[in-house]
Amino acid sequence: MTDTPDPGSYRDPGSRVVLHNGEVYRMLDERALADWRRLSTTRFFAEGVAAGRIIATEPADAATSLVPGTWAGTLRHERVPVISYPYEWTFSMLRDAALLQLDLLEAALTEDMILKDATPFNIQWRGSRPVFIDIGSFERLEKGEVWVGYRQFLRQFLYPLLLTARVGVPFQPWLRGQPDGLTADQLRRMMGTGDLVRKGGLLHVALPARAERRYRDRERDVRAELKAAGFRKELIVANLRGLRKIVTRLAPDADTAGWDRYASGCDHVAVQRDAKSAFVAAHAATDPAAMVWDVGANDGHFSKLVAANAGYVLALDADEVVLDRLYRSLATAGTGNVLPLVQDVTDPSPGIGWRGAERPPLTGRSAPDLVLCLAVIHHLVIARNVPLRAVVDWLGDLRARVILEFVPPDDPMVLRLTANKRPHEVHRDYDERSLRHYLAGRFVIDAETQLPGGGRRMFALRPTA
Amino acid sequence: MIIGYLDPGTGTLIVQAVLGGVAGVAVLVKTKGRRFFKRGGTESTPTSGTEAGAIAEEDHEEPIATGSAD
Repeated sequence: MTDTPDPGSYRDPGSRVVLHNGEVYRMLDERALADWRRLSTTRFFAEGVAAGRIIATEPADAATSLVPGTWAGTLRHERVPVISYPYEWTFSMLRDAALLQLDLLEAALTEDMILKDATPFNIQWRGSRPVFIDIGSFERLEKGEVWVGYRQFLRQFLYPLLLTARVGVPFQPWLRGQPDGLTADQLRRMMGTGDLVRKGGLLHVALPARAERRYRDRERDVRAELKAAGFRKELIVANLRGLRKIVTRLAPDADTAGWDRYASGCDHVAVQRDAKSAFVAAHAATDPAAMVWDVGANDGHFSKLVAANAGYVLALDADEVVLDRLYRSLATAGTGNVLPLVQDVTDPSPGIGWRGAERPPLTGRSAPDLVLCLAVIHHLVIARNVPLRAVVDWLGDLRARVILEFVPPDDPMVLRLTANKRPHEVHRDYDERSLRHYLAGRFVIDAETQLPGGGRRMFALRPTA
Repeated sequence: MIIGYLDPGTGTLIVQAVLGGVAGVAVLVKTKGRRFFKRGGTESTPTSGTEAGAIAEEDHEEPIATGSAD
């Protein structure tokens, strides 16, 4: 591993994250080092680390100049299994991350420290448990100082949540297209008058939108003015508590359901589930995988099944509604090794941000040892018109073992997908014979079995050397 | 204004004081930014006597009531 600064860690001049020998280090300048020393003696920090809400961190005196710059000290952080981004999270994940941000900030204030920014990129996941990773964000609270991160909290936490809860628009595509978050003015234009006067709309959307417009071109040091006028941390706490009440009560808009009734609405799918589970469990257990991708995870049945014998499981699905339900069930159970991520495999997270490298694509953050591709192939080939050979090539390029369920062209679910398509609009090679032909070049079939009650077939595949 | 590592937004900073409740509004009233209460070259202050009121008045609407954060 080379000593390259993390491409997403460049904004804070006083702190830089570096990967070195597979470990995560953070370089600190004099000021940041003083803040760390203060932080490391606080009670809220010790309690946060013990509860798994703040990333475990220790001084690492040996390596002080991993990257160019004038650094005064180095910290070593515990690694999270997979880095993920807010545009890949479900509604409840972003809400829980927002609550963690508010809780940590309020706790920090009691010991005269503050979080200098407020972005969900500072929060990561260990399965369904959020953990705050940006230790460099904690700094000493100067008397009379305002909460500088308030606007960022609005743009990257509250507004995306309001967009989904009040306007009924999924926030993920918006955050992917505009990772700095929605502006107050953008959200105000989308919200109806009724929404704007509801909880939070007036004070946190309409008022900031108008204030930003009014003071856009004014050269003023408002921080100094407020400080001189007697601003104090109790005012921040009052704001935080108000925000907490609003965020806690937000719920996802339930009208956007897609696949949430998929398994229960198809009798043959339910009947086959036991046989499918047995096949998956047997082949997942023979050679336990460090990293599993469950593509089209739906309700997470198979993610949970393989999690018992896997290091970590990414439950990937394009449907944020079913995935949100999965997240909530995992969070209730306290599952630590299944991470639900909103991901459309025909349009996966690209590299975005500065030079397209600040937030790498999913394949730059995780490499699977085992891929579950169950009842997905017909959606790719029939619904999304990806050629069958291209799907096999994609699986082959992942260089992982694959458990594949083939759904034949006469399956009721396939017929449903082709109901509004003319024969010439469907790839003609969507059949088992062609599948076997394409697989032959990329995989060895370790095992296969026919599922009861239809023509669906399970394959356990190993990539050719 | 002075922009640090993160731009806090001039307008949003002012709103932040409002969200501190009555005490926050009292702080706002004391800022020298009171001169921004003036609009259209008049010397009068808005009826609410706060910047939040000024923001509301800009569009000739009733001043926005400012109590504690909801």
